[in-house]
Amino acid sequence: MEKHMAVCPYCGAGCKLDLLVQNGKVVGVEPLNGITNEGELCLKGYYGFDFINDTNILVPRLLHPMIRRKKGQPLERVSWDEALDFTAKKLQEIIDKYGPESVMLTGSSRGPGNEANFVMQKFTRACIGNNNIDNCARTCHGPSVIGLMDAVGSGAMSVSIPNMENADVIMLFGYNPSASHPIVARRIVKAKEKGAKIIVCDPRYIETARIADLYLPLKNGSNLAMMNAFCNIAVNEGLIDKNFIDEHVSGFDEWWETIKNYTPESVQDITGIDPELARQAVRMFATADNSIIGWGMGVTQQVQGVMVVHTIAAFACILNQIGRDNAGLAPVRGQNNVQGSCDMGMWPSLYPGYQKVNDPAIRAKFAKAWNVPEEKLSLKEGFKLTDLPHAVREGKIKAFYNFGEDGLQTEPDSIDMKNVLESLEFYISQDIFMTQSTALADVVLPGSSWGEHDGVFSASDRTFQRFTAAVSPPGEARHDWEIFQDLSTRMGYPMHYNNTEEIWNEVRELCPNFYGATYERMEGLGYAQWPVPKVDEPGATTLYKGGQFNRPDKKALLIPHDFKKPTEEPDDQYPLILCTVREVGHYSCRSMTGNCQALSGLADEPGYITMHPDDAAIRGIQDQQLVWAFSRRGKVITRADVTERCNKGTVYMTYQWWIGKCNDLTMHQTDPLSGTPEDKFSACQVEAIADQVCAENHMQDLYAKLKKRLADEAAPQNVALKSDPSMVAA
Amino acid sequence: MGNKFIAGNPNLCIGCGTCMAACMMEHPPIDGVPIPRLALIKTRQTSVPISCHHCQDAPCVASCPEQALYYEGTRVEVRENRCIGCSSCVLACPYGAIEIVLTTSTKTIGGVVYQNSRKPYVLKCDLCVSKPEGPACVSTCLTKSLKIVDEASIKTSTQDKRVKAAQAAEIAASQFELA
Repeated sequence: MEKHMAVCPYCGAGCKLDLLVQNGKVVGVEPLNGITNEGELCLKGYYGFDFINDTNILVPRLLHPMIRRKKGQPLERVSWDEALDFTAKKLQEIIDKYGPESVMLTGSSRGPGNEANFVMQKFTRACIGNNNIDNCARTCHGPSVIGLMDAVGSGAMSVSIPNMENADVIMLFGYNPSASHPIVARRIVKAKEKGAKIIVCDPRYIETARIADLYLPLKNGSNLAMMNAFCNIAVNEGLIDKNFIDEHVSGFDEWWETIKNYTPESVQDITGIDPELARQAVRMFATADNSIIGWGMGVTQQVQGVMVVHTIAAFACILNQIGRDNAGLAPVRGQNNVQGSCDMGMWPSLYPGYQKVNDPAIRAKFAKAWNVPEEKLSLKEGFKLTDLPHAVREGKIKAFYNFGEDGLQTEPDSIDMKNVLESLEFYISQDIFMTQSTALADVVLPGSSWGEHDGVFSASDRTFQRFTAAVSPPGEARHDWEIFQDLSTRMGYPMHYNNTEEIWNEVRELCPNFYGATYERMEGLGYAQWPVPKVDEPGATTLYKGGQFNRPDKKALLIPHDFKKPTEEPDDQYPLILCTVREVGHYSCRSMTGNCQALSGLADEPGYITMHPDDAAIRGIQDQQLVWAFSRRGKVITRADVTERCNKGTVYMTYQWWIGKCNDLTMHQTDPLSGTPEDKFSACQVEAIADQVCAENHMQDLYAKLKKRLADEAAPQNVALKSDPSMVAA
Repeated sequence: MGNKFIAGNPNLCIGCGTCMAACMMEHPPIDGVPIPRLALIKTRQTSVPISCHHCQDAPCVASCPEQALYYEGTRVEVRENRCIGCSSCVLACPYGAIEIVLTTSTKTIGGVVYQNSRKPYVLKCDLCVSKPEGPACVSTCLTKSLKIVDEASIKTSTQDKRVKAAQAAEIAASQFELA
């Protein structure tokens, strides 16, 4: 049995593992003693590998390139040469006709790794000539990236995952680590065992609430009112560190002009939190030697996401609970390489290494390195991923290149998203599975899967770690960076990398903060945490040591905001709040985990809608029954999970389900500062179904039809190429 | 000889279900479907996996009219071929740790199917007896909330508790004297 070192391709915890290979097939996983996982894995790490083997449990792997010669025609298998020539020609036509700004691309924060993403953004900027490149952070921790860059200078965790267990107080605000990062939840359990106090602020009674010393069940959509009140208490009770503020923080007086109005009493109606409980929480957090505040999608997928991130940063700064190993900020990233996508400049305003596209000096550096005239690199910020729907409707975007994402599953208002993708003039999808989004593409390019290529992932706490190939890509699937460089070469900007290390070394040369992270250093269980400017010096476990923030004046900036209500409040017709959450055993759009035997066996369609017993009772709904859930956007069938852990008046759906699809119900309303959708708050209604037998059959029928439709869509790839008689049907 | 079973500590459990996935994959699938033999149960205040306690006077063993459930040493085991699917054991088990599922068995002569029959299958924890490294749920639990409880560990824990009680008694006595 061979063993190949890898990093888990699921959440951002960065767990090291060995893939076990027998007869060219991955047959198992063994945990390794990585820096963040210490020899442990969760269910996705242990049992999330078999999708590589094309199990066809959910959807088939993509094995051969296919094109749709005309809209409406079926896909047709073609050679790589023909697929890439076709793609290059079509893209060039669109650029010639509408200009380079009419092409938009999205990177992949999942299996491909940093190198493939780097090559894709280089293709976007140096070959196509725009900054229309984004990644799924837009839909998740985008507000953390933006908000933290504004307030403290770096859009990442300031503490490391291992150090979380050494904090004296951990406050979780809109973050459910047991579902999103079990390996981080383990650190919190360990912290508790070592004597730490835990504070949980969440409308739902999440797993960590069970071990919390203080539980604050704030109302859905009240984050900013709550955080402002926390800051208000900190100042009014004299808990702030005046010396630290004088030396390392700017904007206090102006900020206080707003915050002074937010006494916990004044916002009690909004937050639902007893002022005394809020005071206890702030005192506990403020007076501990070292406190960490962790947050997740509960903060960011709101219309005031960036503003709450500003305020969380302010809270940590005024209390001097930042810049130490066990004190600081922990926005833990959802996807395995979403930190990496941001690191690699899959962001419309940033080059790799968080260097601004509108800075002429930075542009000059990249133009020189990439051997293009400066004017080829745009100084203009590109489109955001969530700009896609309106930009397509307004005729500004004509072509879209999707890399390993499934927007029809993961973006809000999927019914509208389908119209958007269908109305594109040209749509390329490069993926490993025939997803719902790929099924609409004009060009389907089969990339290699995690387990089939080498590379570097960035874990959530800025830790670069290498992963290696265990098996070869199946069929004609190719490494993603090879596809991008071949396409770029065809379009007049040649790229010729031989391996991922060459690409990575270019990243290092261009990004001073990553320079020290050599492949050699990351061999085996090695790692490098950025900023790591020097090869012979350790990386930074902790950001902002000694109050040195990464802003031009080295000071943190306090930015005040007033609370505003969520966009779509419940009413008589849609009386329930819908909040989308995450399934522990599944990942992203589910194309990977849904093809794994154990994970699909543990949880399958139509998923659940979690509701309070009172909300179920008045609708005549019993636990585990199928129900209708509907909103102004759509209607889906799902299963009731009736539990007292759910707060009354709100229902929760995990976004992994293709039949019980919550994004048919959510609305496309975004935080204006980040473009992140307000997935945590919209209005819906739930209805009992009288005939459960009929409903079960209906659900199974929908599921079988969807699987068949996608398998049929992929089927042309199995037809042998006419031009090449040596190719036989698979 | 006391019983040996798997016990979960709800204070360490994060409800992630890794134990269930491990259990599913450790055992042969039933009609191609992997099924776990322990159930992660969540109430408002508790999350913990529940599985067979291999009781020393097991109601499931006593309730089985066909002796399909029996003792193999201290372990409650199943003779699959004897099970008639009457569900007495399911009713008798105070832990809800037994389930019966139906499997399809096909009999053929010379490649021709002459009988498709449904056969009951008793699902319960077997302590991964065929696995030298012990139960898969215990080894994969990432917070180490699952432990094997057996005679030795019960003795140690009982002794520990008695020592603590003795120490407490000493403190109580000294305070009694002071008072």
